[in-house]
Amino acid sequence: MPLVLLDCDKVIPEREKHVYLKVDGEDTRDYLPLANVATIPGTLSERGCSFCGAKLVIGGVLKDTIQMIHGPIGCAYNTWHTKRYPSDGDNFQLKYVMSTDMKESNIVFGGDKRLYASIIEAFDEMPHIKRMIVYTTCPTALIGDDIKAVVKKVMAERPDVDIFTVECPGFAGVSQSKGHHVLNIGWVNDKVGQVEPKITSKYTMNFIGDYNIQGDTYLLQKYWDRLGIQVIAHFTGNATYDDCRSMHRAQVSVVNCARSAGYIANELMKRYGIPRLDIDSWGFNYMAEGIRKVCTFFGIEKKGEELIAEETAKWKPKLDWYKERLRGKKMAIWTGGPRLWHWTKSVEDDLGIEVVAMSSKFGHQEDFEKIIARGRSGTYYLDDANELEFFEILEKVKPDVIFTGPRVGDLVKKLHIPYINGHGYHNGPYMGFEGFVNLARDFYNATSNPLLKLAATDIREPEPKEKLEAAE
Amino acid sequence: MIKTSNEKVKQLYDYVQERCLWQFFSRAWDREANIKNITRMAGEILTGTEPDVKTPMDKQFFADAKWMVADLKQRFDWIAAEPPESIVRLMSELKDELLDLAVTHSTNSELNWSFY
Repeated sequence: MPLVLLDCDKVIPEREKHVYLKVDGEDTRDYLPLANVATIPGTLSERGCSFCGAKLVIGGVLKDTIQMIHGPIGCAYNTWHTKRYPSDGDNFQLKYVMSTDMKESNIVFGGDKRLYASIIEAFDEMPHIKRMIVYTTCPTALIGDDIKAVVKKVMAERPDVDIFTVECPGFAGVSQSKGHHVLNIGWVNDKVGQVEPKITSKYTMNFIGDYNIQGDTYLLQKYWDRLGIQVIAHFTGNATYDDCRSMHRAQVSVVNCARSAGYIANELMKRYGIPRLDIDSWGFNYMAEGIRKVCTFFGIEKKGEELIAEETAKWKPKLDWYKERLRGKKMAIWTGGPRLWHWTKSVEDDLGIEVVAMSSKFGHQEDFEKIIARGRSGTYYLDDANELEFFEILEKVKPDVIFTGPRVGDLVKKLHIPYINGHGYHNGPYMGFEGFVNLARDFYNATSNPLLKLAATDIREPEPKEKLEAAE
Repeated sequence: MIKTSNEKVKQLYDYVQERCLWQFFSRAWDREANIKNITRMAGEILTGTEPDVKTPMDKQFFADAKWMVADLKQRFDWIAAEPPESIVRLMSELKDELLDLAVTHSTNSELNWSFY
């Protein structure tokens, strides 16, 4: 079966190149959905913008850094507080976001002075914070505000502060993926190598592409601490700005999310000779494999086996309890991209769940190669899908639960299909051994809850006959 | 579609498809380095030769190869009885199949971009 033209796409047949149904005997040499290309006119994309990819996903996670959005107020609000990544820095990054609140006159006469004043005001209001990221947005990029020049001036006047600039307006790319890229490359160009970390262990690594969603980083950090491995920088879960300036000193970059941060891992390899070890941190079996590989890299396999044995003894019985009850359930994954390939085989192996449809908002073809290699035959694979396509696919595959974001989640709830927040989690963390039990629990609760079935039952009394006749 | 008719290579190939992220790194150059070095080291481990692990990159290849071998031994009983020359041949065929899929005939349009 080649690429699929859905009924709802007959008016926009170009969408056929973005929808694939896998059958036995085919692979990505035969069919690979188009991805990371401009959204086709006529389809209502659910993608985010490039600025959002830089700010919301990566930069905004840093726990000691003022986020200065140079643009209209909405660019700040709409990329603030919509992802749950706590920190041990008093959750500064969740509490605050700054905007230059550009108005019409600033657009007409230029916003450089307003940006300068805003940076000064922010540092003065928060004297304990000495780090900042300034982001350009669509209007300030269009009018050509020179944010680098403003930042240079501030840094010359205030030597104790350091500021990073991200020049990635919303229109810079086809999706939020461009923002990941711009921030990665900008950071390695401008900031990596500027700070020398205090080395406290023989074993040092970067952990790249984990954003501490509901405490993922905290959980994994416990493993690294028990193994005696110093994490020079998490990129960027629960990290400080200066941690990430010292990434050049790690012996290895361990990569979880290769989509949002594979770029910096590759650049660290090319520029500093730091090898890149890609692992899956979601999934019981995968996590064990990841720990084993990291420990082999450092020659500390025995410690790794002890850790895996302890965690397995603690969490495997719980996982198995859910596995007995979830075996044969059907799941759809409609998230950004990487979670499709991280999750499809791990839920199948660890929980007996069948993934019947997967949709990626911003994955590249590289992600679809991984997804299709790991995914089942008979499963649908979609790039940049829209609501009508979702409805049609749901009819075809009838999943028991959908892992997606709150917006699509509200949509499917109306169809009385439970959803679980696949971006920010329902009750995470989901990474690691304990995390996968949390995921299983949320899955079990979602599919066992009678509420959605009850909500679908019409309990109104039938209208009395006389009333109906009168109405006619 | 996989080209070989060798059932054992097919089994090894299916395993790599299911488990190994290193075959699908971002670009042709890093895919090629991973596939060639990891299959080579896996072959060495399976034939009882100690891989030469000197550089940080060697350590990464070794970490991936070691756990691939552990999995293969667990999944495929036949592998323990395979003579060394056969292991070398199997790994070479596996390497060729993986390079064909992930590099030579990959339809990923970003594979050879110099910028990424």
